[in-house]
Amino acid sequence: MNDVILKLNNVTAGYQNGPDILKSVDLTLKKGEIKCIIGPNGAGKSTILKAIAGILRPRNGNVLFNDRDLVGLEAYEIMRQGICFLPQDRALFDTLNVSENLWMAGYTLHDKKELKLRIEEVLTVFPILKKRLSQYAGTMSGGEQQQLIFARAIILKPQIMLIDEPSLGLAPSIVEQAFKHIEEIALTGVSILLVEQNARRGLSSSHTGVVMDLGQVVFEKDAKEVLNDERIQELYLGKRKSK
Amino acid sequence: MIYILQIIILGLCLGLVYALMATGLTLIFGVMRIVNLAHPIFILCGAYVAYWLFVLYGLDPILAIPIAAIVCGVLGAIVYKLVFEKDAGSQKYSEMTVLLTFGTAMILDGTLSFFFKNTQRVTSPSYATDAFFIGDIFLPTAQLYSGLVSLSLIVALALFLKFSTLGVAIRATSLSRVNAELVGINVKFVCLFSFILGCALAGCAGSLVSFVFSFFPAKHFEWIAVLMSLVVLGGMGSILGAVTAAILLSVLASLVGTFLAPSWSTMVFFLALFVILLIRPQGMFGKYLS
Repeated sequence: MNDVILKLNNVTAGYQNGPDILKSVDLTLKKGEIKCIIGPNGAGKSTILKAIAGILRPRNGNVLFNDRDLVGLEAYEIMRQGICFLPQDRALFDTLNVSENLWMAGYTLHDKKELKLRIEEVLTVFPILKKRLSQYAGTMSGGEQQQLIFARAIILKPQIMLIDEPSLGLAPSIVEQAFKHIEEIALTGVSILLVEQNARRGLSSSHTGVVMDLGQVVFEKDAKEVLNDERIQELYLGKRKSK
Repeated sequence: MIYILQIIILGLCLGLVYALMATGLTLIFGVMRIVNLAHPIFILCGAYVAYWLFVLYGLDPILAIPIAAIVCGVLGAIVYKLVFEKDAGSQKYSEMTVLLTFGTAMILDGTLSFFFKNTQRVTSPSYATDAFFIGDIFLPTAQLYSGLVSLSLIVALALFLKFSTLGVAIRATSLSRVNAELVGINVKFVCLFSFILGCALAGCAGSLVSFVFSFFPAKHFEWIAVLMSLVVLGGMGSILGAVTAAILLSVLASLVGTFLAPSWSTMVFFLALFVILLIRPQGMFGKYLS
C-alpha cells in the first residue's frame, strides 16, 4: 500500500475565464487507499476531481498517473487509462434502461464477450439490479441508482475511482450502504479519492484525510487524526467551541 | 367509407416519406442540439443525385438511394467539419446553429440554382404513373413504394439505435454529452457520425422525394417549415415523436385537402404547431430542455 499511483504536481485550474479555483495543489494517492477531501464550500474539492478526470483542463501543473502525464488528454482517454469519475449528479442515462446503462459503461471494452461476463459479474455483486434490467434508470430509487453507479464504475475494473459526494440526496441507511460498497471496492485494490460534504462520515471510512480551503491543501493526515483534531473539528466538522 | 379509407392510405404513404425526411433532422437536433435549417437542402441534394442518375444512366431512384445517401453523407461530413465542430462546446450553440445552418442552406441553395436553374423537375421512373387497385382502393405505385421504403429505413434506424453499441451510444450522447464522455464514449466521433447519418437519411429521403414531388432549388423553404412543425410537434429530438407527428398530420392534411380544399392542407401543419406550442410546448414525446 505504499506505491503511489496518482500524483498531482502544482495543479492550477479554473472554469472558463474565471479565477483560479485550484492554486498549485499537490496531492498523492496510493494503491488501495481511500482518501477523503474535506473543506468548506468553494474550497475546490470537486474541482480537483474534475481536473484529474479531464473534464476541466488544468491551466498549469501536471497529473501523473503511473508516471504518465494526463494533462491534455480528453476525458474518455483518461477513463480508458483506468480512472473512473463518479460525479455528484449521478451521471446516469435516465431514459436508457439499466442494462443499456451497464452496456454503455463498458463502451470502451472492445471485447463484447468479456463485457457480457463482467456485467454478469457485477449483477451478482448488486443483485437488485438484475430485477431492474429493463427499467429506465431515472425511475429507480436513489439507493438503486447509487448501486447502478458503482456497478457501472467497477465494470471497467478501474485503478482509481474519483467519487464526488456519494451521500448527496440519499437516506441515511442508503448512505451507510454506499460507504460499505466504497470500502469493499477499495479492498480489491482500487484507490479511491473521495469528496464528501458529510465530512465525519467520509473520514470514518477513509485511510487519509485532506483538508482544503481556498483552492489549496491546508494539510493532510491520517483520517483518524483529522477526525480527532480539535482545530479541524471547530473549523470544518461543525463542533462548537467548548470553553 | 371506402373514400375516407382511400384518403387515409394516401396520407399514410406521404406521411411515411415526411417521417423519413424529419428523422434526420430530429436525430441531429437530439444528439448535437443543432437546429439544422439546412436539412431540406440536403434532401434536395439527394433528390438531384437521384434525378441525374436517372436521366443520365437510367438508374431507378429507389436503387439510387445508397448513392444519394453516400453523397449527402460526405457533404454532411464536410459541412460539419467546416461549420459546426469547433463551437460544439459553446453555451449558445443551439442559437448559433440556427444562423449557421441558415447560411449553409443559402449557400447550397445558391449553388444548386447556379447549376440546375429554377426548373421544376421530377424523376419519372416507369412506375411513377402506375397504380394498384385493391378492391375499390386506388394506390399510386410511386407513393406506395416511397412509403414502404421510408418505413423500412425508419425501422432499420430504430433497430440500429436500439440494439447496436454505437446506436445506444448515440442515444446516450443525446441524453447528456458530459455523462457520455464520462463513460468513455468518444463524443466528438458520435456527433460527427450522427450528423453524417442524419444527412445520409436526408439523401435517402431525397431519392424518394424526387419521384413523389416536383422540386427546384428553393423548394427547401417550403419543406423546412413543414419539417420543423413535425419535429416540434413530436418533441425536439424524439424520433418516435417526429414519425408519429408526420403520419398523423399528413393523414389529417389529406383529409382536410379533400373535404375543404387542397390549399387548406398545408395549414394543418402550422395550425398543429400553433396549438402544440400553446398547450404542450415540449411536444408529444419531448421533455423540457434545461
